[in-house]
Amino acid sequence: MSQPGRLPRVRVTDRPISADRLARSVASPHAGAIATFEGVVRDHHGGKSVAFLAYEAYAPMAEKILQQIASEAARRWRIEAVAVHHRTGRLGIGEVSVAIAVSSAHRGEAFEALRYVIDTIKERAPIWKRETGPDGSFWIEGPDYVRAGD
Amino acid sequence: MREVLRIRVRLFARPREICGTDTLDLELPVTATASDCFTALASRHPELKSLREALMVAVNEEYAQWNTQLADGDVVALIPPVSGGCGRAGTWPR
Repeated sequence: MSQPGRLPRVRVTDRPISADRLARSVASPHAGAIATFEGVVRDHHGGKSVAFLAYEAYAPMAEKILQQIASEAARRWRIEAVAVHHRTGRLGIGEVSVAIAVSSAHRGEAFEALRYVIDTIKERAPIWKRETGPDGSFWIEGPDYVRAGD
Repeated sequence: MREVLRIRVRLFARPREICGTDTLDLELPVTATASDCFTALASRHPELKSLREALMVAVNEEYAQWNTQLADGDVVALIPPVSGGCGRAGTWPR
């Protein structure tokens, strides 16, 4: 899917990701707006302190789902391009877990499509988050915490 | 026509921890559905049974219904509640 020298639009990777790089990749002479989003690992969740997260993905299916979500956004809003990268593996506080960039002629479409893409990823992409803190490790299953094994 | 279906099962998160592996192969009757695949797996790993209500299933990397008829060589994945991205708690796909 990826072409040499060109950032793939959709990727699930264990390497660091950046919305800045995605923003450059979706730039276009027709686009007057580029909206970006980064999901960043935070040091607390639900009143508990968090030391690090581990993301696990069904990578080939997750990439298909990210592509479907990007296509849905492109059908629904007049946008030039959308790029979505999701990280897997162990991430420390402040590291970027998901990066999205959307370009469009005008800002309204870029903001709306961006919001749709991140919200839908969280509903549909087969990617799981394991949180580790002072009380041990937990799988985050929607609103539920479930103690994880080692 | 083979007399059994050879099915590869992919496991993630809690089901992976329970089964102690991320991939396993099952032989199932030719009439088997995704639900039958789960039942066969849960008979080996009874701890899975309590997760059944919360799990979704994918066949060949697409979300599927539990009553989907399987074919030889299909890849079945058990999909626990997802929580991609960061921060806000995820919701469950329909």
